[in-house]
Amino acid sequence: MKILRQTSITLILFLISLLENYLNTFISLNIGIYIFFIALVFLGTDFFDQSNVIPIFFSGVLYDSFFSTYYLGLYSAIFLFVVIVSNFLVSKFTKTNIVYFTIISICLLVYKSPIIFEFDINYWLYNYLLSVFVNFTIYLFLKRILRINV
Amino acid sequence: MQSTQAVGIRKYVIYFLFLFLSGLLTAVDYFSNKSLSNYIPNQINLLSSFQIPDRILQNELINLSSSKADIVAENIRLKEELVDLRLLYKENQDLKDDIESYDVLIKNISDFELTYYATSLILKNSTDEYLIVGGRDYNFEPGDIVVNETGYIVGYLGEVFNDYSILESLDSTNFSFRALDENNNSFEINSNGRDLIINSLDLLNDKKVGTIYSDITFGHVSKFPFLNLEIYEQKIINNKLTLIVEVEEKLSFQTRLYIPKEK
Repeated sequence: MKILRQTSITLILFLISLLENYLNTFISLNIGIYIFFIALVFLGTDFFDQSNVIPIFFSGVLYDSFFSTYYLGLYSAIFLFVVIVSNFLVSKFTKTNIVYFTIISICLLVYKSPIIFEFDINYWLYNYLLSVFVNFTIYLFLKRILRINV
Repeated sequence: MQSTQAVGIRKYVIYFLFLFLSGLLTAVDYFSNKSLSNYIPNQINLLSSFQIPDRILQNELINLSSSKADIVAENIRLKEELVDLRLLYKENQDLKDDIESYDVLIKNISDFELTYYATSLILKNSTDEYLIVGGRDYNFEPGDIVVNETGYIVGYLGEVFNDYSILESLDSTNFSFRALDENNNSFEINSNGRDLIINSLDLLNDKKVGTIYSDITFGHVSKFPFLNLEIYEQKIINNKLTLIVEVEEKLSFQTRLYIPKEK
């Protein structure tokens, strides 16, 4: 039962990442809608559980295998780190919108770190700043839908 | 306070372990020249099964980034495409008409060993001769029979040029044609422009003449109906039949014409 649950979560996370890739392929504006990233933040802030580590790790392995040209394990590490950072910040500070905004900002930096390290600041800064606002809005919107008190 | 912090750190232990595992995987993948990361995609064709239908991909609403210039360019492209589509529509209609015409022809002919070249009027010249499409480029020769879609003879080729021919139609004063009826009686048909003058060449019995046909004995390619004489009043004088039939059918640009040729 536990294995089935973990497998299901892995597959769902991978499907969300797949959807995120398709979504950002269509959107040629200089923003990114990172639904998988938002899902990871949710896993860190609201649904943090040690049992989620394996699905997150394997979704990263699958992501690396199918979508990334980087070495296997890089995105697993990034995903895990996003969850750790978001949970650490939400545990450390009072849950306010500013904290959530900070979480999104810092975690998005982590999430986009391969691009940040590879390209100069002019390439990614504008996109990053816009994406922070867009994804923060989506995050809050989803929070409301999920009836989670902000 | 310290214990709370310790609990806070301990909950990440497994995450850090998997972070370490991820780093290990990266190291192995690096030293194995990416054989690890390529293993799964080489085994499973996953992404091909997630292909988005073209219908969705072509949906222009998805492209949110269209700038004004893009929209103008797209508009121009669409206009050009519309013109092309209209041309294709017309071509399609013409082809449909051709198919319908061929269908009618097929129902009316009996000789399927021949090739039927479709042709049509180009113009009627100042001497009221019909110029039709196709000439030596289709291996047409003077004397080749021209039939309409009902399979009836409407004339023959008088002169053949490179890409067009002159049709000796029923209302041409040069029209002169020989035909046979079902009893192998020969007839000569001439035209004065308004009427066809039909004369029998052989002695006839009292039997009423039915449809007259072209025949290979006169150098025609095959047997095609020319005229049904049964509907006209026939007076046989001295065992000879002379009949004057008004030319009713006039050719137009809508008339579908075919030139049967041996394969």
